[in-house]
Amino acid sequence: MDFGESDVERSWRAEVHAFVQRWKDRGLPEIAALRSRTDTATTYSELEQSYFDELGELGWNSLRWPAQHGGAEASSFLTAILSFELEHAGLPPIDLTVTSLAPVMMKFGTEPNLRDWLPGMRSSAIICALGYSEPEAGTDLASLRTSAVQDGDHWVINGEKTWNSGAHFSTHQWLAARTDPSAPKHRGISVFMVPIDAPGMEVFPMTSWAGNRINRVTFTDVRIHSSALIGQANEGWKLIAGALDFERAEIGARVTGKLKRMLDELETYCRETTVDGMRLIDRESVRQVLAELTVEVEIAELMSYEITSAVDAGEIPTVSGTMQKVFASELRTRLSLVAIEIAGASGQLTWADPAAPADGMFEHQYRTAPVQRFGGGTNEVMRDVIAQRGLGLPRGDRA
Amino acid sequence: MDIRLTDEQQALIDSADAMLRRHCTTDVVRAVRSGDPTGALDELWKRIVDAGWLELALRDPSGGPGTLLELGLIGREAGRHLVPTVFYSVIESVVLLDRLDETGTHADLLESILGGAVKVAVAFGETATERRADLLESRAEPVHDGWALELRKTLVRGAPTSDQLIVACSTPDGLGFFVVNAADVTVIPQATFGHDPHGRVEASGVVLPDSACVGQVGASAERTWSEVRDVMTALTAMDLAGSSQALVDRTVEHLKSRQVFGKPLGAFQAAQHIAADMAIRAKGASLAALRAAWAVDRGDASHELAVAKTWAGRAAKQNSVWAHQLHAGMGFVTETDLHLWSDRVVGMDAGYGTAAHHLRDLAENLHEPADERKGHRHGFR
Repeated sequence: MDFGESDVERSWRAEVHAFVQRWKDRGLPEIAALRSRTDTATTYSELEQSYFDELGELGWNSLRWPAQHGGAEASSFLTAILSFELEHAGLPPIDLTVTSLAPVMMKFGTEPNLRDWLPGMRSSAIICALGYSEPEAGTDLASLRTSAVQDGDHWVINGEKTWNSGAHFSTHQWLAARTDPSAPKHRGISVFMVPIDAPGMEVFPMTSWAGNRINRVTFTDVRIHSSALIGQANEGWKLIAGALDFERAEIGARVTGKLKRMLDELETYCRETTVDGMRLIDRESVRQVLAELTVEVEIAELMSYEITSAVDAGEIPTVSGTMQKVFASELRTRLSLVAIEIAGASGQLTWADPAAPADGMFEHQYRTAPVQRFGGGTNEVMRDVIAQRGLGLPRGDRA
Repeated sequence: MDIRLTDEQQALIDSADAMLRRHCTTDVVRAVRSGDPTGALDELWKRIVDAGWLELALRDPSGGPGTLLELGLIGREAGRHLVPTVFYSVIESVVLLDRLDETGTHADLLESILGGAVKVAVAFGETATERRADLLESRAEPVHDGWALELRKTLVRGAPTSDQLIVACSTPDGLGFFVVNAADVTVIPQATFGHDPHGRVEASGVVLPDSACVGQVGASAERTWSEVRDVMTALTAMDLAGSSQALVDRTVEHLKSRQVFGKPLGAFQAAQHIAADMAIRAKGASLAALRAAWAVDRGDASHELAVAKTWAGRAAKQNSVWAHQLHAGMGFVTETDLHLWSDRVVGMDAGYGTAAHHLRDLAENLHEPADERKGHRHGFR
């Protein structure tokens, strides 16, 4: 058991720092912030695309991939450092297309799948929107109704997806559709790669509470070639359930980066802000709250070390990953609420106001944080998972 | 970074668990709580000594990281199985003698402790101070060929069952530690939440030979005391993490076996969610305490210790509260043993600073900008 940093990790961090500084200097964090706060951004700007392209060229999209697919077979701790540093700097995260979908494709995909899709995923030429949730199927995803019917060499897709965050800047939908309506609900689902410009697919913008754009996407007789089927027909649930297992280390590190960034910003704000004749940091009650948050953020960080170490040992840390998800997501909300409270009257200023504390980070995080509490399964279902798979308690009334 | 346990560390845990399961039963725990009239601790103590756990508190003579992480793993098992807390008073005396007695004046005493023949406790705290040496009212004045002691100690863990005490006194040259026979001072037992032996230690005009002083008084004693506290804080956090986990495990067993409304209590989502939160708390406690134990072996660990003790103490007490809620009446009666852990965690957390104390330390550090703050940052940073 070693909590220390190895020489390899130290020099890797220096390399990542240099990369991060370059993209900060080019103003990418401001563009990324705008994309997360407003619904006007559409496809990636030239700057954003060149950032993702560079991640591809450096091989940082495929750090953990096996060598046979062009990966560096790096430890998940190295990828965790990268994910942490990007998030801490406010840069866009490594896309789930490469952290989650590509690994699941390598595990369950066919040879032609790998040949057709992997190179584009590795280079950032392919970026996927997650076509999972539907108006009637969220956490209970296996109830999804969007259908795909085989017609010769093609599949014909009909249905509707929602909370489709990436449809306006992605190249493809990673789409879950029902291919066998007569099978038990988890066994009749398949996954397809659907080009975002496929005829019959329409994207309708929706605006989230956080202000950013998400989408509703409809499919009307969308015909796609059978080569778009990923893995085997009717075995899509394996891909959906497995995808999360591949990105736990990155997600844990990313969330840690987010929490530390929020805490650092809060501390800086308290150091620089004087109200009623006293700097906020000089108030004992404020320092006490910051101390409490420091403890909790580090607990979340420690949990993500455990996940990372487990992944490097070849384990699938379902339970510890779920624990971290629940803990960190609720902490993110609490941290932003506490920050708004410390800011007093100014706490109500939104990011759109130049006087907003920490450029509006806290109020915006407060509105963004719910995604993490329900995304990837609500925390209520996550607690069921901890209790049943982690503690061995019996399945309850949830079917 | 790789925070997985090595095979050797896992084997150490497994052997400790197996031994304690057998020899530190709740019957033994209850007997020791009741003053141990039949000597129930003796057999367990022999096994602790034979297992070499006390030696894990010694420094690496070559100056490298010691075995505090391993001792911490034992501490976690001790918290799970409720090893009587005299274990920690003895460990504290070992750490203090090992680090402060540079001349080897008390080598025989250390040898006797490690061999299980005598038990020694360190007496520092007083009504007006828990950790600050400059506020001690107990004094040692140099007299011809020796020292004259005035002692006013309180909450000295292990005092009523120790053969000798190492007492902290202010001297004209600063802090000093002195070995004194328990029989030569007045020990007044105190009633504690953890039902473990604590006592006030008082003496007036006790004269000790020069050789009673451990190492040097002044700066070296103060530095060592700070190190001893760090070690004990990390061990206490590990013990609390172990108790937190035991509270989860016992509660889960109860949820599986207790039938209500025609099904196991644990099939209800309301109960499952509480159990999941308990497991998360215990997990965090363990991780924070392990990092602290690792860091103490490598230098300044004040930040890691504050995080660990804050979280481990609160987690253990919250888990105790929720364990009682889920056990309901079955935890309110003493025959089910749940209260043994509930008493333990309040008692253990009281030592070496509660969250109130450690959060104040963290809060004080915030006066310095982050990059000038002491302590190392590791991990994702």
